[in-house]
Amino acid sequence: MKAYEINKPPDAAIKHIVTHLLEQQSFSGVMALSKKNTGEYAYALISHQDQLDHIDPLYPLMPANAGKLVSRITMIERAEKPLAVILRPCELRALYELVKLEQAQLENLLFISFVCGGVFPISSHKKDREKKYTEYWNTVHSCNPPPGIRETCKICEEFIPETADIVINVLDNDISRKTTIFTQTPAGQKVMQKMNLKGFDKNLDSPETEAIQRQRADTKQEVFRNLQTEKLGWNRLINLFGRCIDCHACSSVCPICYCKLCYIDSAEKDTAPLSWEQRLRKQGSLRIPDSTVMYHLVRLLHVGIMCVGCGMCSDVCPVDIPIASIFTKFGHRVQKDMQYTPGKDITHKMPLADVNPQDFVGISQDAHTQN
Amino acid sequence: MKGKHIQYTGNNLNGGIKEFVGSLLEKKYVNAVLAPRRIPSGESFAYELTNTEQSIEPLTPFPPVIPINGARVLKELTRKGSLTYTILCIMRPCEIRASVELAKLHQVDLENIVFLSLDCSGVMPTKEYITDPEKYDELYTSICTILPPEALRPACRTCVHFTHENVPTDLHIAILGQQDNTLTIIPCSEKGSQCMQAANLVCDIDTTSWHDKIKEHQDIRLEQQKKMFFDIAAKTNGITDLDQYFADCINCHNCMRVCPICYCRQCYFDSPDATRIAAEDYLSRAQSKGGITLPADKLLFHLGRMSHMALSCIGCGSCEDACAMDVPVAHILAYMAEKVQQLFNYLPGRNAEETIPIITYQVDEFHEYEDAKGSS
Repeated sequence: MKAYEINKPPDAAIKHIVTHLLEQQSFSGVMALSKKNTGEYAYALISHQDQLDHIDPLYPLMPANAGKLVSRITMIERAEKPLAVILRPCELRALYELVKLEQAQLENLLFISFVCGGVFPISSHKKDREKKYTEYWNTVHSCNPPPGIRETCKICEEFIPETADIVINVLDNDISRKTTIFTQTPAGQKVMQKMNLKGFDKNLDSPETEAIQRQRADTKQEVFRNLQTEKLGWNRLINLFGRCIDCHACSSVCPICYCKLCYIDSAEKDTAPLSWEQRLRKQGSLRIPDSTVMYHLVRLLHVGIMCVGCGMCSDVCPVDIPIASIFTKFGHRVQKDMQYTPGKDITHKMPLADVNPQDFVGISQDAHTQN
Repeated sequence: MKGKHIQYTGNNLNGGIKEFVGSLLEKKYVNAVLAPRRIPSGESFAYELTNTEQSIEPLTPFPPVIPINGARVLKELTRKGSLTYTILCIMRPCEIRASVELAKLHQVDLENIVFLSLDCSGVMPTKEYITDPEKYDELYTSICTILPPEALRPACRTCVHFTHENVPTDLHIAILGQQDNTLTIIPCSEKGSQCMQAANLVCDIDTTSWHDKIKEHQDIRLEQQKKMFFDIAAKTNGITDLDQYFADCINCHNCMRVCPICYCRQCYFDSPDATRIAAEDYLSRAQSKGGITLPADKLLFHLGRMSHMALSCIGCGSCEDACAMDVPVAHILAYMAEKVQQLFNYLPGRNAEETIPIITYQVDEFHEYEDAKGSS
């Protein structure tokens, strides 16, 4: 791993790099979280260097999972000219999964990412913005969890973007003066060399990253324990998902849930009046819509193994169901069983697309011993 | 218009309604009842269809929130055809109007459905209610409570169609100016009168004082509506203003998902037509403007939805209730809907016999718009 130093704080260092990409290295654009003229944050695709002042990729907010946005851009054809994408580790991992699902293409994309301290929930980030922002960086630099970030961020152990071409270290001691940039791929290295920077050998892992890792792992245990999903049965499921209003916002923002029309919304799922009547006679009373719990279980099955734990689902839930934590916990278990880490390696096939009869030996015994 | 006072045993109007509904079920005038019920974990409500007298007891006919607009529930039940048995739907006026509008759009079948409604004083925002149901229940001690405007959904604060007027309900419960211990039921249709007969109730109460109260309440709401329209008009001049208005939107399309009227299974904006755009197109747009925000069709989505919903928006406020970013989307829709509906002299959900103006094209109308682009 090669490291480079730029004598600027991380924000300015990133701008310095992408300006060079647009001006000197014939990149066609930069996709990054940006501050709009209205003062709000959104991802933007920028092609002129004079617009680069808008970018603020380190701002702790995720208004959409960037993996999903890259999929929108590269779904039907790959990028013809080099395009730089600045995104968070979980967004890059989501994108890798989308590539495996044939919803996105990686050609000509250069990924710049950073050691991620987490993001604020989108609905509450505006409250005490200035104060929270200062506090955020103070706590990140002291390797503590910033107060008020998404629950999934507090338990995320994959905060180092292992597959990005270029990684910005935001944990340096001397962050106000200089930033260390790591390159993890030949493409990343080429970019930095063209900038006439001198590389040296250094590892991205540090006592700081290890401290964060340990602390996130502890929090994860605690959050998973508090969810008490071991005791899941219908009653507990109804309590967990009972207030769902069937809006399916969790699926529409989920980077993995890529179907244009979900089965649950399709005509196949419509119930005929006679069938309602039969069920009513049998049961005496029916909750309608009847599929809120089923919807979450189906989504859990479809998405669980690929869930990158970005937390978009919980963020947009109008009735505050802790969907992301439930999915992360479930996903964690399935991923462990299948020995699959979503988004880690583009060459790892999805277990569901790579069925091996041997995989299932012992599952029934497992279930017995669990009970 | 005549009504009937009904004495009931409990001390809560929701209980009185259940006694009345139970008698309709017992007399077999209706075979089932559709009404909200508190969910097992207690913090919200969901619609339940039930056909036994015992299972009426746990229902809460008019809870302080509408987590899902009842029209969406009726759509689930009747999208594939009419019911073979009669159900009594206990809904607020905006839910009935949405159901009727959906019937015109062939998404709901009104056959065998009897509506029961009330003078609606408005509901609370769902996401606030679920955070502390006990606290909000204290505010809403009875369905007769007139909640202060700030406790209501923004759409409810300015709603003028809160009573039986222009709402095709069959049975109506008078609330305004009534005592908490009497249930005043007014039949508003042939079906409603049949219900009263089935329950052996003779309408003998004069409702003049109630009508006066309605007028009073309407004037207050109209005043609030006027003020809101004025505010919105000032905030929505041109594309820059609109961009600012929807600045917080993250394009999750939740407003569309919960809207009772927006019934398409797949919105154009989620369809392959709108989402399968070549990388080169994005880049050339970015190059011509210096940069574009992503997703690129956020404002277009809202404008598209507005133009589709304008005639049929019944102003229930579900959109704003479910917005993850608290964008005041219900008010801008109500403001725009009012203008368009006036233009066509159309009030959505008023009458199931009316058709939606855009499907009743007349050659001889709107000449003034021809002139605007005319030969000159």
